[in-house]
Amino acid sequence: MKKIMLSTCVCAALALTACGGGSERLDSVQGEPPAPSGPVQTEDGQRFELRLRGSAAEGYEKLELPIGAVRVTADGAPLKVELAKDSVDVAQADHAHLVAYFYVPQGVERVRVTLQLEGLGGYARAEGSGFVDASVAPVTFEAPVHELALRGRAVVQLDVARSIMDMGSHRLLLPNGVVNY
Amino acid sequence: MRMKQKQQWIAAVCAVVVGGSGVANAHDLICEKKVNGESVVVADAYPYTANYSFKVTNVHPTLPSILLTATDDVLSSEGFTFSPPPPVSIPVNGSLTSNFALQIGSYDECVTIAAQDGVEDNHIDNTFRVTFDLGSAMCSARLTCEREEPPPVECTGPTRTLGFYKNRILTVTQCLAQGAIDLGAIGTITTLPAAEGILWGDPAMYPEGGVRSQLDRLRFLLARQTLVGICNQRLFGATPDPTSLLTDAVAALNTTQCDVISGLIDPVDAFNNGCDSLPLPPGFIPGPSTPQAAEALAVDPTSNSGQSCSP
Repeated sequence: MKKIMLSTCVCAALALTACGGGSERLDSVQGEPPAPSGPVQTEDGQRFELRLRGSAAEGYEKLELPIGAVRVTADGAPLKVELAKDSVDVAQADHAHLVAYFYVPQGVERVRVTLQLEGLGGYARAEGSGFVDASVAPVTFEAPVHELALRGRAVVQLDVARSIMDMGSHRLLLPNGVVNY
Repeated sequence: MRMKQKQQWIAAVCAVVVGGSGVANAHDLICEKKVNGESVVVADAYPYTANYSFKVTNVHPTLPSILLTATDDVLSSEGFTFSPPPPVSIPVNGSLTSNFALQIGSYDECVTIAAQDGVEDNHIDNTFRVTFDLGSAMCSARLTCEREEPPPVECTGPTRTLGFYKNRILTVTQCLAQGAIDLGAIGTITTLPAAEGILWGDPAMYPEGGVRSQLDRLRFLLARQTLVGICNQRLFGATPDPTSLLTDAVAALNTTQCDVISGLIDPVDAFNNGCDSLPLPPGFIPGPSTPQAAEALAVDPTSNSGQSCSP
């Protein structure tokens, strides 16, 4: 009986590992620090990562989006943020690009994260290339710190097929996707 | 007995591990947002009804997912709440759809709402957000605010603009030949220098110097368009819509109601521009364009009225 129950636990653990809690592996990101297994403790508080990746990007050889700003607040008060990139290519669906670090002081239970993409990006497909209007409303989400702390990061995953609209003369970004902690 | 206690302990730990890891409550939700059935729409006639739909789908293959919150920051301030209210469980292969009709009364209201999405432009790009255990989903749709196209102008005769009249002495002379031009509190224009003075005068400054009051500035702006409008009527048989537009303008010039005066400047200007592309009547001689000579003739007949805008 004990063996059966332990086996069940192991199976569940394996299943959890396989599912990954809905998030993706980040270890393959080139030129970037490997994804942490939790927040990093610093003098400014716990350091978390904000990452951005694309999914369903079939047909895109390149889809570069400009990063305008990242703002993180707790109860309306701004927290320290370090921007890591000013643009990312989300056509590489197996890469979750590090966009920013943000620092959460002790005692904060919930943060509001705003990722502002702005300006013009660019895309390339086999049939042609052009620009992407990324001056749209920011991506905003609120996250409990204890959930962020499980992996030390939040990953914004843009569903490219649903987020890029063909407007004829150019393409328009309308963010559709998920945020995983 | 001890064996049984051990088994219970292991079961409890297992339950905590599994339950605490989020397997019991799956977290695979996606959302879809449309406005009038599309991802991108344009509002160009008002009042405009934007019918938003918000669909949340459980994409977990085997387990129900719990929708914890469903919000749209911009539309929440307009009265939107997701129905059924979260938290709510969505079964495997299941989805929930909530609808919301946003009534937009005017272009200005549309732009005001657009400014609430975090970017001050003429697009309402509000994002619908749903949260679940260990994550959230977002979806966007765009509503672009555009001004209404003015109704097509029916021309009963050609019109010409302020710029045309101020450069053509002969055309203004022919207009005055048909009689004095009543411009309300500005005065009655009977001479060519006074007419040129209205056309060439500085709306910001009195001819004797000093900054015009708000009332006098608005009166001057309306007076010069009204003069041009009356000449278009006299010389070319053009008819404004409404037909009382020019008499309304003259009446407004006799008041101190700045909002009324201000509100007539664009319509009279639009009348003067409306049929500018039509040819002049056969036989009409507009005269050459001589801006320097016309400006040299101009004598602004206006002065400080000493009045101010009435509340």
